[in-house]
Amino acid sequence: MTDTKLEIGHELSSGGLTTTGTGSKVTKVLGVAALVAIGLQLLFGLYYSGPEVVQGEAVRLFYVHVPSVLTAYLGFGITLVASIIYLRKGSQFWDLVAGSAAEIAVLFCAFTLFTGAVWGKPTWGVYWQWDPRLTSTTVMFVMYLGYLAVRRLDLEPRVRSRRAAVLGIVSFLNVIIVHYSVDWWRGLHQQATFGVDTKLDGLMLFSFFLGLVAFTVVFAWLLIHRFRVSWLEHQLRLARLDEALVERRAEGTIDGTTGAIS
Amino acid sequence: MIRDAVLIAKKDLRIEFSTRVTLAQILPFGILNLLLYGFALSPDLKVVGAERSVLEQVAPGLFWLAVLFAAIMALGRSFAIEAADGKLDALQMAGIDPAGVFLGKTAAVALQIFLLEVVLGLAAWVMFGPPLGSAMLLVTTVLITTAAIAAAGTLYAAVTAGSRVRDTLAPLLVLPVLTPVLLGATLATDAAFFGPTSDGTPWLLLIAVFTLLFVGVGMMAFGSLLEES
Amino acid sequence: MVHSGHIIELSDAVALLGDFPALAGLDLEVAKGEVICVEGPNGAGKSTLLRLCAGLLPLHTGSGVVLGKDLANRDERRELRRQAGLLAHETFLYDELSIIDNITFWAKANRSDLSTIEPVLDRLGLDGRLRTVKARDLSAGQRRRTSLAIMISRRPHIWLLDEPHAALDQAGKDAVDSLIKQAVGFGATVLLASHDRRRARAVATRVVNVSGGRILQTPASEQSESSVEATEPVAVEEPPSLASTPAVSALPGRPITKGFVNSSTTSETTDNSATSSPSPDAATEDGSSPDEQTKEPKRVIGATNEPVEEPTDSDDSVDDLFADLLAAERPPSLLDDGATKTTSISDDDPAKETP
Repeated sequence: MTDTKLEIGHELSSGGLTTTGTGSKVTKVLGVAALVAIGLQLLFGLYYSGPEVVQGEAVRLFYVHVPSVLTAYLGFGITLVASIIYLRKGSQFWDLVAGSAAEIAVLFCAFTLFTGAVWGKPTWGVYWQWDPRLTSTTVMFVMYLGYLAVRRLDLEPRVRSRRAAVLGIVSFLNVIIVHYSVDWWRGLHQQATFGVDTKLDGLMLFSFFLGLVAFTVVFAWLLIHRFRVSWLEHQLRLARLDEALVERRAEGTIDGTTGAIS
Repeated sequence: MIRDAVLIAKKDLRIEFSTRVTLAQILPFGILNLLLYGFALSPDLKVVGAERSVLEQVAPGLFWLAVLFAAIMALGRSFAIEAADGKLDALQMAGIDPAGVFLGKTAAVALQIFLLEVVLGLAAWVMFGPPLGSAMLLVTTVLITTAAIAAAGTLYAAVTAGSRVRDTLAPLLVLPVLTPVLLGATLATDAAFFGPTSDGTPWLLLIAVFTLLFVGVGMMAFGSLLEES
Repeated sequence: MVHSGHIIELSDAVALLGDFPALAGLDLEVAKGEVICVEGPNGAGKSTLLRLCAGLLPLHTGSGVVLGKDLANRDERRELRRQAGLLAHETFLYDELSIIDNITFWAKANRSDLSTIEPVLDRLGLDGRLRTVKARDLSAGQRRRTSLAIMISRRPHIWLLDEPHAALDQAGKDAVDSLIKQAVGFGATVLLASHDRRRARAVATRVVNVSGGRILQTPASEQSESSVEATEPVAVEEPPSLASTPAVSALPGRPITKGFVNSSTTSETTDNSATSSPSPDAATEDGSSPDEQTKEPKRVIGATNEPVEEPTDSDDSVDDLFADLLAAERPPSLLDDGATKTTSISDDDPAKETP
């Protein structure tokens, strides 16, 4: 966890900031794996597998739409766990994990909404339908946008982190309730929904699972990089703090001796 | 804890009593909301062959929307009171139980929201006029929903307390969270007016679960939220 | 929890405001009963120092113990907050409420006794008509007096006063000074940041200079530091007490020497001001609970020893105020550590100590 980038403080004080980047062996392997998985998925999803009976060609979106929403859930789940650990231990590490995971998950969430709309056009004839999945995903999306906004609040860093952690927990619990409520709400108007009435043959299933793998690997790759960026930012902050400390002390020795009478 | 809660709630209500912000500003805003919905939807709008006007049919939802927006204002007010002049510090130094602060503020705001609901409900009923089916269901819905909005709202208001962007961020946080409550309250109220009553009960249950969740989390987390702010 | 000497012990303390190191490695040791005047230019870190000592800020690095509570520990900081009294720039008042409603609320919130606030209010000139006025309609000075009264009613072990003289008229300032002395008599320790140098130094037993978030080693503070070393806390019978202050005020800025202290503190309670109340002697005895006496026998003796020669006209009234305070049924056992809370239960609620 305490990466190799801790020396950034020294680099700072000895001149310009030269980051060593956020890559490592693990991310390189992950990156290559992600590229391969995406390539394979494109191949299988668009070429080898055929159209589906009901959905026709639109089924191909299924191979990316569902994996991406599952990955988003994974991300929000990580935020939940990391937030709990942060509140217990108070270590910056977990706060950064929670924030990074949420950020990436929101990205995947947006992708899910986009592919959902694209799928909706040929299927429903409109981009937006009050489909329960789509609706609750949208609410979740907005909720986590709020979470990310809280992470940028103009508060003391610690206060902000703690509040964000509480939000990271509550939001996840609330996603469950939102999910149920929207389901019930649309219960009577159930429309064709992804996954419910789709019949997949072997090759289609394979494409779907390839999608799962590809999205998970891409998620992991992004998460690690994003986390390292936050970690570097954190280190930079600490380094700047050291400088600020020196400056602050200098204030005292220059003019303070007489103790201004104002 | 209960003692602290009562103390806080009484103080908040006393402030409301002396300033009448809810009564004189937020309540009229809620009524204005209802009026605007009427303008937007037009009272004459009717689906062909339908018995009731559109406005009458969607009245429950419009009522709860108005309540929600008014409640957002009341919640903002509830924390603006504490944020000014270092009072969050003073509360911490007093060693008041954070759970008590949470319950107290929730209770005070709930009472104000309830007041809003009663008046707005009457107004909506007069303006949009659907005939009432089950008064029992309606009253229960109103009570549970009040608790839900107050609890979740207080928790989220605390998240943004002390920030300069509180006024803009708080609604963004609270409204999506209240989605299940808006849906549930609307459909339960719908059932109370147009029946069947049994349609309302699962929604009441859902809102109750929501309320319990937020009261629980609020009591546990309020200390973390307010500390060192 | 029993303080092994110092009430405040900060070592290389760094405290942040956002990403700004308001305190940049500050060292400070304060013994029980000291009145420290914190001087320094605007933005030097004085207020932050007080907030840190109140337990309102976390330590970034360094170490700090105040009233035996480790500042690095959140739970202990929480306990510290209850035992510290802070008069900040903010008044902590609800603008929309009347003075009396504010006071009632905070007294209940603090679990302090309303009856001890009443006399303070009277003496601070907030009687009758003023009390039904809303806080926002009061002048800055009146608001400040109200905050002060509320703070005093908490019976804090440590008084952290941020510009206590600001916005006050002469009588108010005198009252503050007198209160400080009296508080020290009860065993409180005072940290006061003030730009009213003459006044602050008059009540102070030691002056420290803060600049750039640290204590500056000016000659004056060095000397007084060494004098503290000499009077190393518990061992010495009496930490500098209020009785020494007239002498100090005659010599502004001059560090307190032990001689002054000794010569003046040993006097018996000669309080002539307790006109309307049971004898101050009795109260004094109350104040010095047995265990305290064994720890620091003489300090409390100097306690009610209000300087007769205090040179202000409002003096008597302030003394009256304290006589009233003393007369309140609760012994001012400010000196107990953890157990102090018991003193404030007295009237209503046994269920007050919530976990």
